[in-house]
Amino acid sequence: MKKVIALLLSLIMAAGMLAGCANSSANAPGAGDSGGGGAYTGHGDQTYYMITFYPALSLWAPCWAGFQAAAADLGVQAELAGPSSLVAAEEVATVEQAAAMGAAGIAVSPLEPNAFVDCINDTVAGGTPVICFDSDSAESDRLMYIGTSNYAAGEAGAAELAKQTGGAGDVILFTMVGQLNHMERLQGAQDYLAANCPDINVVSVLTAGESSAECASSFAAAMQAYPNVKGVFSTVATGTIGVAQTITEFGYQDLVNIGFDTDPSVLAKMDEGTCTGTIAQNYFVMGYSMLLQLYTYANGLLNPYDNWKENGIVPLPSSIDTGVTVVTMDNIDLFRPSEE
Amino acid sequence: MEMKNNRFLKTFKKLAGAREFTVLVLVLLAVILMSATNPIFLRSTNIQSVLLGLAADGILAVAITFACITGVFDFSIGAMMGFAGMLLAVFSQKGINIWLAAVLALLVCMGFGLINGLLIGKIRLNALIASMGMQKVIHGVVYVISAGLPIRVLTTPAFKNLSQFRFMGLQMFVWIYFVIAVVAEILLRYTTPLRKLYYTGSNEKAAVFSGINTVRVKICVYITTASLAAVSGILYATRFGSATPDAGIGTEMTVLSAAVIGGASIKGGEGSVLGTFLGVILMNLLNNALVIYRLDVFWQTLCEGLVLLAAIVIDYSIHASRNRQRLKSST
Repeated sequence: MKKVIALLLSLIMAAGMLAGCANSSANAPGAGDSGGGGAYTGHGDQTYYMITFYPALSLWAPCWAGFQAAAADLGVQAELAGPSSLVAAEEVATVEQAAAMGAAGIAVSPLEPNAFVDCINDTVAGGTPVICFDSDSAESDRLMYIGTSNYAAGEAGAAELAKQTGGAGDVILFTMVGQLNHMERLQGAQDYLAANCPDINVVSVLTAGESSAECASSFAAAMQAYPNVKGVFSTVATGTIGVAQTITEFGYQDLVNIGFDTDPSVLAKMDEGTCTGTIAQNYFVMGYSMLLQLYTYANGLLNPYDNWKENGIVPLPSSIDTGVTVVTMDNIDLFRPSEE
Repeated sequence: MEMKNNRFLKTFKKLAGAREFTVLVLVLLAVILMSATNPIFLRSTNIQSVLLGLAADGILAVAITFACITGVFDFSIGAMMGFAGMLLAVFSQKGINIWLAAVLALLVCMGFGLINGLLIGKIRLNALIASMGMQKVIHGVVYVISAGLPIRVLTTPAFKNLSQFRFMGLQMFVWIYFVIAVVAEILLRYTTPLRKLYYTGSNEKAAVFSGINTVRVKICVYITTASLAAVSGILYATRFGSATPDAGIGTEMTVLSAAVIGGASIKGGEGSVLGTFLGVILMNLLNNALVIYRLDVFWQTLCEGLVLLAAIVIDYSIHASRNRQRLKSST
């Protein structure tokens, strides 16, 4: 009897040791270890935050949809937060609040890169992973940046503008002065045109106001000052709508109008023929990737080196460019919101 | 002959003493300067674009003028404008006749105006904070009903003509603004009920002692400002064919600037729709000039601010000096 009990206990101990080894190999850092089966199934107690300014804006809707889709697939919670203003301090406060509430990870689109350095550094030092999306705070300790390369997006818009105008003539660029992502797009567009389109002349750069009506007024005035303009590229949707409205109201039917983003207003203008193309950012991919990367880091699933954390190595890629798609009437149906 | 000259001088002095006269002079100077130095300015398409631009802000500016005269703030008018446009779009998407949708949107906004009036007029909450709070509430409602997405306005050609139809070269939007401005100015100057706005704004206690129901005055003002904001929002959404969740954001300060330039006082008791109209023209001329003079985009905001400051300083200096002269002559 004692032998049977001893054998049973030995078997139980052996089984326990085997089970323990399997769990620890899934969780502990080790060279070449990328997690194990079941690693990407969720921790329902983990909440990941997507923080941006004006979170209810339509432009964030596909990004948030991607973030939520990843959360559903991974079995974690997702929260959308941020101030309804363009005040950086308010967005910084939101990040701090999310960290204080025990966020498992934070994805933030900083309004102004320098204003977020301290807050992101403190949050990361406190053990909460932070990544930036759509606009970056490169000087901070954020783990990575996911977004459209705004510079490349500007190049894509300029390329389409050049293509539709036949590579020659006067053009106008519409942007939002003072916002980093728009200034990067503007720079990309200007550099592309300068390098590749010697016969295209950028006669003016306009700044988009707070409303499409302001943009329409500015553009209508610009068309007086530059009557030979053949095309315009806007880095912002309000500019696109304003230009389209001016085309309707003042009869500039031959004008090429390349816009930005694919919200329903922009697509409607394409259907009307007053917008001849637009640049779509892959926001759904952006949102999905954000949560996936945060989850991977927060759960220690990517372990390229021993003791990578202690050695200050970040196993995530430094950036992911989610790219853009040029939308024309040939592929516009792909970008229409689904009827629900 | 001498009598005629004296009468003319008297009339001119009376006009020149009016608060709006300075702004009128500034507007005329701007027009003359721009006409003389830039041939583009007087082109009919440029004039049309200036007028269309000012119509968009103008209706809201009438609303804020009413508030300023009464001595209250209404920072919810921008949000109300966006809200009205969004309601129009949502109702039209639900299959409601567009004209009925517009009336319903107007009525809902008037309801919010009534709430504002009760909070500020009857309960006597601080107007600045209460109207800013209402601004947030209305913006929030817009985001909730739109899920953050722009919504198309399903309109009929007849309704679209409210903003698109051209009469004598100008769009209906502009004509509607002119009519609103003229009617508002006449009512303010010549009707007893609207004169009460001035009495309430300049000295509320004295107005109460003289039998004016200042609570009712304020409630009516907030319903009026909400109605005007709704009209502006409905026309705006019709013009662009869709309602966006962020429409109207930030317009309060722009139209308040126009009203103050035009002689309205944020302390109350002063102002006119005519003065505000001239202030709106001046600001739109400035925006037009920044573009047609091909000013570098990075300099535009600075120049805009400097010109606005200069206009206010000139206006203030002239009226301060007049007030000193009046005080001297009365002692």
